Amino acid sequence: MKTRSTYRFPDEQERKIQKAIRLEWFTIGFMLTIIAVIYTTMGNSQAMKAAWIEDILSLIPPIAFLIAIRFRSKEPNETFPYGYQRATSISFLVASTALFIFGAYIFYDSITALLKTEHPTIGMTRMFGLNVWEGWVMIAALAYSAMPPVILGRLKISLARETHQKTLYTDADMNKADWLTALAGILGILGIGAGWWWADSVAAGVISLDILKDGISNLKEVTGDLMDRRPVKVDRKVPDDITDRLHDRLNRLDWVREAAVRLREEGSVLVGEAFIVPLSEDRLTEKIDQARQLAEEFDWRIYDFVVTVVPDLNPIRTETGNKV
Amino acid sequence: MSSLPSPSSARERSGEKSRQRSKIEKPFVRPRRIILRLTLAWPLTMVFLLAGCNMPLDPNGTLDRVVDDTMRVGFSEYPPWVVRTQGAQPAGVEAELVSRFAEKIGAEIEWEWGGIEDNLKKLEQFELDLVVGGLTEKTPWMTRIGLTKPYHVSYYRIGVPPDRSLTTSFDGIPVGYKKGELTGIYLQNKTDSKPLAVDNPQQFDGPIAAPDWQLEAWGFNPADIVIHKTGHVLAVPPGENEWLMALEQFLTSQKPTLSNLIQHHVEP
Repeated sequence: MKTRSTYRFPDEQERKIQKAIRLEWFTIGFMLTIIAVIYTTMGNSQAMKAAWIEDILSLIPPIAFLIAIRFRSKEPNETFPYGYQRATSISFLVASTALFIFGAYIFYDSITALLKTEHPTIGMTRMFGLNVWEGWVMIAALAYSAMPPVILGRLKISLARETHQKTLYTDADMNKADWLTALAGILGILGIGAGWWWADSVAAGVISLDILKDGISNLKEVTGDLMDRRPVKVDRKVPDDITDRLHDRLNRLDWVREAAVRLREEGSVLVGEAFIVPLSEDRLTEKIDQARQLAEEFDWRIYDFVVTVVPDLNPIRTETGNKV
Repeated sequence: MSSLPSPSSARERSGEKSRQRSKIEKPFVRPRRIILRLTLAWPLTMVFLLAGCNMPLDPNGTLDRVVDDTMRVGFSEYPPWVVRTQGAQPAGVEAELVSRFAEKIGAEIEWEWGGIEDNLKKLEQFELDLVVGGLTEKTPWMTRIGLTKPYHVSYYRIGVPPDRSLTTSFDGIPVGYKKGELTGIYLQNKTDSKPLAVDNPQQFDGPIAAPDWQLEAWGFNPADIVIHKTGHVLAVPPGENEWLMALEQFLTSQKPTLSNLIQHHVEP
């Protein structure tokens, strides 16, 4: 059986991936300190509990990314002839599901706390020999919790765009939004200080909706990926025009009467086929191989591209939607 | 014959496109984000921080209501913390602390005797302002009402009569404890000794287990072994944080006199 050849990132991308790996290790380290700080200060605050859970969940995408990166360069073998590229998608699916479930749970928790009209008790604590309201300590902890993720998020997001790493992009995007969580928590505690007992539950609800939103949008994204949807740009706002561009390029080859192309995402690589109607059957094997090479060099993400010749394209509806 | 496009130019083109995209996006998004943050978040926070000098406030206004007025205190017996007397006012460590606190804020106390659960339920419904009764920090009621930080921590130890020498191990040795108290369970869980329930531990001819203040009162020398630790707390209505802060500040100020106060109320 013919197994796929091992995928290799080009040098420039490889350097960026290495940088991303370092940043993800930093993220994990900082998140652990944040989790510890929030745990020791959270007391009776629902909002801080929500922020704490969100921070624990934030560990999943970096870990998923690091695991997926380990798998990407593993050689395809007899058991897995198509290789291990789907490892990225699987880790993405796990992360999204966790976010969705926990977001829903915390939201439910906050609503029940509001309906039960629970008044959070936040009293006094002693710090450096002074009597100080615990709320201030909580606010300080929340302020700290916003800083490393926002900075790291910004650093990672540009790397994610350049390397088309969706898990990295999602992680960086969630990190950047941590300032919102911290702000909601702080306003919740300030509200408690002002005597509004409901402020904390409302803040917790807001934070949980944020987690839920992340979970839902990521679930949509990864199910699309696993269902071999057409490639989209890493920030998911628009479809990637790469299929069209490759289609145009192949059609310009002199031995091609017409060509149809389809591509799908497999983790961070693009896999696909081209169906070519040749002008003549002269030296076909050589030309097919040339076309394959052309496609794989067209974009560094294209991997294991298969070119086949067909008598005509009519029975086939092309990726570009053109019925020929 | 068209030549193959060079790989680097293809990469360049896709890279360029994304750079152009982000250039178009960035100046558009950034100022909007900054403005949003400035207009929403910071003024709100500033207002709160300025008001913060008075923070926290009571949702139910307990402190404002009690100062220079009446304080409704529920109490249940638990010597030496709360001891019932002939009169309306109880004795005991916690009763004394509450009396001093009331004096400080100019409040008159309305003492209400009741079972501890009934009192805590009333507290939860804001029908009492304070509850005392030997409550400890790990009480399951902590999710329903407010608790102070422990004003005192009792350590249960094994002590020997003054004329005996201290040993490091009490394995297999009978250790006396006051009949009816939880000390027997603590001994069972933490040591390999033989717990013995007695009516008068202070007259026991051998090592006994009791809280450190009790051992002190009876003149027993405590060994290093701690078989149990418990923090003593007072209870306030849920969420009344200004009230709680005032009480906690007062309790902290009482720390230096506390051990004397406890000894004063402990049975000799």
